[in-house]
Amino acid sequence: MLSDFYIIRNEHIGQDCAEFDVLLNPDCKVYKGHFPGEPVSPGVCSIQMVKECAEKVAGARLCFVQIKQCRFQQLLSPATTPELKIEISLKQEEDNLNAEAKVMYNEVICVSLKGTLKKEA
Amino acid sequence: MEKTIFEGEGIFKLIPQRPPMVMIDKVLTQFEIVVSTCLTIEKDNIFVDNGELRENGIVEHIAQSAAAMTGYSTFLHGKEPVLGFIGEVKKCCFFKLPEVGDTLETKLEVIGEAAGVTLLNANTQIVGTEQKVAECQMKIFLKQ
Repeated sequence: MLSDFYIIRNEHIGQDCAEFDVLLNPDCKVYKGHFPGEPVSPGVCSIQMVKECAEKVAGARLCFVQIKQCRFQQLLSPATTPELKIEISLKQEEDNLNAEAKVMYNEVICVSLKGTLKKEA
Repeated sequence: MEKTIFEGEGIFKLIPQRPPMVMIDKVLTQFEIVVSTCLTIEKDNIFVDNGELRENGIVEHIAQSAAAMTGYSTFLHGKEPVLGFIGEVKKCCFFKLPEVGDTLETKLEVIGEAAGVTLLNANTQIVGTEQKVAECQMKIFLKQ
């Protein structure tokens, strides 16, 4: 798994919502292939950032049961959108957690996600 | 009509992604359309954690399957693959995380296409079993 795609520079974790300031790493090896000479952050790496932030809020390893909807409204890249804010809220529903998250650059929503996660054994 | 299989670096004729970001290793076509795509999960795959391919790797495999589908039609016109981006993932259910050594097979069904946007349904399962891995709806944009 990519461990150096981004770093978290600041975090505010509340009871069931949180905000993270993250910085994309232009040297991550994913950009060698996505795409050669034209670095674009893979949409699925945004999904990973959201999940890892949700794990910090939940205090547990999580796995997606379902991504109800994830919209990619703006392209992300360490060259053009290096500093991102991630807002996330989690609500317990029976055994699962319902998550709503936004990834933003300069107050503009770039990615919005609604999904259901479960805690991993 | 004979079947054509793209594999190894032949995949590069269909998609613009390059290692370590290539998430399909076989594309089967017939009657000028992509029938299915496959990926055998290697242990050094960048989306493998603890011996399992994680959810984002499954979604990327599906996205590249869609890229190969549109890439195949540009290939038939003698052109290079164009960059494609995921616009939206919807109703994406994960049933089982596949393991290193498993081979995924994905079947796509196009449900709409207009002005560089393709809407499709995808079903992914583990080859040789009836085990479903994921199903989802995806919208892909091609760079114009």
